[in-house]
Amino acid sequence: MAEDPKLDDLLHRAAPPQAPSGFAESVLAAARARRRRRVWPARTAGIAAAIVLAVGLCVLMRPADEAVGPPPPQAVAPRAASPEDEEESFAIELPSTGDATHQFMAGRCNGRMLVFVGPARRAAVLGTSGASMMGFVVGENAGPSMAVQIR
Amino acid sequence: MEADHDEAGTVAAARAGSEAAWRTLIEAHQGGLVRLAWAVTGDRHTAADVAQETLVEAFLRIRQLRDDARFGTWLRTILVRTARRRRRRPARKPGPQRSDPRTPEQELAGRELHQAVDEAIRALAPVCREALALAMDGHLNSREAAELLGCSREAYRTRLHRARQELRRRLAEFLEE
Repeated sequence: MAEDPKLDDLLHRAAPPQAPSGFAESVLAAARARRRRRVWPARTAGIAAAIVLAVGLCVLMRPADEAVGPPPPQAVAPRAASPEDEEESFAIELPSTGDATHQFMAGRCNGRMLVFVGPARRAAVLGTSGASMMGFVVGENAGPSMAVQIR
Repeated sequence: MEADHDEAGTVAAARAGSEAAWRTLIEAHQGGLVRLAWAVTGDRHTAADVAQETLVEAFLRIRQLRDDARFGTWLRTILVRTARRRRRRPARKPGPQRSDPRTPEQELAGRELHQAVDEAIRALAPVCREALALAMDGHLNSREAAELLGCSREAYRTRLHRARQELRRRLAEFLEE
């Protein structure tokens, strides 16, 4: 800043002489207050994360025979006692509807794993068309086994 | 800087949570930061607020400081950013004048000069004001100042030259006295 001593001197004369009295205390008080305000959201977020983690662990560690994810389709008014019977169909109530839903769906019924093909995919997968879902028993009874009525 | 190296131990204590160390650091830097804030903003009424905001930020983010010997440089970086942030906010009316230890006569004599210099600084382009402020502060060399401002050393010198030229023009009547 030694380029123009006259200007430099003028600027230094015009500069505020010092920090106001009690400046250090006011800085420390403001810093403590800001730190307190920052600690509470951080603690709340920590507690929320711990709850999410605990719930996640419970889901992962629950017995294998409990389904994970959305509840399985609930069979209502069955017209056949079991999906093992390839000749019979049974009604099933699905948890949601819509053009994009249920193109494929996995579920369990009477202890058997089932795969359902929705109307949007029936022609491509099975070569047949229709408004209902077609279900397969995965395993020994694999193959078209039943018609599913969407209610 | 030698002073920065001497200060590194105090900075380490402050990082460990010592308020006494913080008080020492604040008292060592408060005057320089208030003057720098004034030169960066051209507003003596909010200079202490900008300096306080800077020190509070430093208090909260001390763990991010990588080199304790560069505490002073780090503070100045925070201050320039704080002042830039404030510049984007709508201006507030100046509060009551802070206590000034000078006599009423000195205050009267200096008031006109203060007003003229403040107005001249505020009239500068922000980038020129920042360059001038860092040069007046004298804590950083031109390479460090350019680095802090995010420009080349040549650009820093050009901005500083423009700032001085403009101030000389606007403050001519005071410089002739």
